[in-house]
Amino acid sequence: MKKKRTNITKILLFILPSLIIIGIFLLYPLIESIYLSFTNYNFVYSDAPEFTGFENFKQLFSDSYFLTAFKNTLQYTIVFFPLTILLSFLLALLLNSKIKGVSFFQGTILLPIVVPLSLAGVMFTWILAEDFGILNHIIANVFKLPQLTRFWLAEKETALNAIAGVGIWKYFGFCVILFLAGLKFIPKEIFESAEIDGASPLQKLIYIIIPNLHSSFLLVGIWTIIQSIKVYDQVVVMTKGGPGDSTLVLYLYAWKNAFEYFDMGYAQTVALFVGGLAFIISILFNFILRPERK
Amino acid sequence: MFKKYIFILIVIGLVGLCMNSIAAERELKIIAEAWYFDKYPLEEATENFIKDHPDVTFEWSKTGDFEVAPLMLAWSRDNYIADIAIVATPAEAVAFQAKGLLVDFEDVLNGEYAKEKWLEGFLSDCTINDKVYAIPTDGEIMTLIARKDYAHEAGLTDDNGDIIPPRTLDDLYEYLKKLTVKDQSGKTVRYGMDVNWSREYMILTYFSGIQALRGTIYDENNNLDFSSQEALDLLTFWQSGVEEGLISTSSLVDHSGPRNSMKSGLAAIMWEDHARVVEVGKVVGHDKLEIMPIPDALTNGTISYCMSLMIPKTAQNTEIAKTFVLEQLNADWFAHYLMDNWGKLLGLKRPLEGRQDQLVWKTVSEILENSVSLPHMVDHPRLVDIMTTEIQNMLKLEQSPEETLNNIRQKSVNLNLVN
Repeated sequence: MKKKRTNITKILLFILPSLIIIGIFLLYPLIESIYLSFTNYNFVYSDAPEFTGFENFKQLFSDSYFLTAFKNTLQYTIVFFPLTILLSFLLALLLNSKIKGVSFFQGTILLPIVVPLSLAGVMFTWILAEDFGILNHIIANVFKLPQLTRFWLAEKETALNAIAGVGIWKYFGFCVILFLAGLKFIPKEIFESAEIDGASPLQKLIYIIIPNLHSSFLLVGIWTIIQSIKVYDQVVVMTKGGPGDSTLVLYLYAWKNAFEYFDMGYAQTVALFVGGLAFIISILFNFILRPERK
Repeated sequence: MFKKYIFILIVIGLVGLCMNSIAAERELKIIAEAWYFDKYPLEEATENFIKDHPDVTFEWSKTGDFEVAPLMLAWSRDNYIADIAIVATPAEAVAFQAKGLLVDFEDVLNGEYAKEKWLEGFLSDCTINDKVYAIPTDGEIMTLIARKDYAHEAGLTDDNGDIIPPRTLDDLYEYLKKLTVKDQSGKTVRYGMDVNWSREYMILTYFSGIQALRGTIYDENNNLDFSSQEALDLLTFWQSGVEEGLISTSSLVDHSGPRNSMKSGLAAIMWEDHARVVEVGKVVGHDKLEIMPIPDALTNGTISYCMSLMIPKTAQNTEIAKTFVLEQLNADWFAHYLMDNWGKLLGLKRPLEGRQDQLVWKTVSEILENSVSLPHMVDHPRLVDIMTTEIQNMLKLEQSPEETLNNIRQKSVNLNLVN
């Protein structure tokens, strides 16, 4: 009995540093953030937070800028989420096959991961520029289609998609790694049996690869959704939410409220909404892709 | 004997401590936005000051552009970060002073630094409740800057080769038609004008037009003007220009877009601050550029604005900080360096008066005479965002100028637009 108690004490002592760190840097800010979201607190002009109940949450749904930011974030997710998964999955399949120079291609695909997102934003701002951007140059002079050149970041129809493109470029390499890891774990015997049974490549993909990559899809899916809901860096660098409000996203709106308008209460409400949204979507995704229990 | 040595050691120690504390009291800590270190002769100013005040040492540190929140947090908790903060604009100083965090300059604004010796628009921009709480570090006026060579080709110059100033928006529109170059497919290859509609400039650009056209930025009810005929004319002029491919929208993405367009010959006129005339001139040639007043700006003025520095109440060397600000950061040599190299003005009149032989500065002086600064507003950042969003939406042809003004009025109705 005494030994058991000593063991528990030891365990508690070992996890204490983590608990303290989690408490100070995660739990306390979270509780403070939840509290502030129920207050009216202007960092500059208020002496102290004033409790207002659910006023900030009510305001969210009548705030046209918030609704636009929400719509834009969803639009970004609709482009970013499926394209990242599809592209990275296809590339992982390709890199898993026996092609020449596979190591070179694997290395190349990983390169964008080491480029900071803000730097990638600057780089793409130049690539997508109207007059001197290389994309327009290629479209006009290589493909001889000058009528298709556009001011990609200044046009409402293309700005958000261009930003999603930068996100895909930056993150798909990481997703390829996750899929590749999953592919390596599929036993070769299954493929051999399938070949003996005369399965076509498409049948192998549908009946062997995809079901066996269930965990990879779950991981990539949740990670991609979280990345798309918290999109911020490339928006700030490339468009700052413009033109107009066409690329205003939730995190940028939360930041504006906190550090431009100093409205900490409302900013926390927006931030909580973003966090809650990511949490709910992750749970849903987990639920949809859960393994079937027999 | 032993006691004597102990006594001497104690005395030396005490003297050392005193010297150390005296020296520490004279260390001037200055924090400034990073770009100042590239454009301003801060090292030279520091060296000059140390020559006159050998007991003073300096510690400079950098901060990001407009990063006021960390300073506000630190100062409101009585933390000592710096004696001088060269950060942001007087609009942000208003936010600091709302919490009573700043020291005023009233006690030193006498003699050669008396208030009447300063450029009125800039000093009034730095004045909060009748007291000066900031000192201008970069004064600008909003204006048009035009390419003389392109204007000459388009037949818009007089016998001396100077551009004939457009008298109305309609005149200016005709100029743009003549200055714009399109290729065979109808795509614009050189814009008549590039206007700075970025978030950083939107409110300045809009009200510079309103002030020039109306002589005031207020409507009949003394509110900021979003309802007059001139406001509608201005927005219609901008939207039509964009629609016809006469005005570039480069600034919707990049606030440096207009100056880059001018530097690369992609635009013939730029609507921005006067200082760009020097910066762009370095690339295309100073002889090819001219400051061209916005129609009626010579009579009605335009918008002047400034960046500024402030001294927090938590400063430990307030007096020496004020001395440094006046003696070095407002010295004639310092001001002339900035005017000649970057086109930037400081707050005192004297350096500008000393450059009246140059056409650029003569024109700037004339426009500056009737120019006004924007009022200090609690909800300034929100108004800027509303204006930027609505006017940019209009420029993307999503709404008419009437709808744009209406939206701005409606969305700003609950804002606190008074100091």
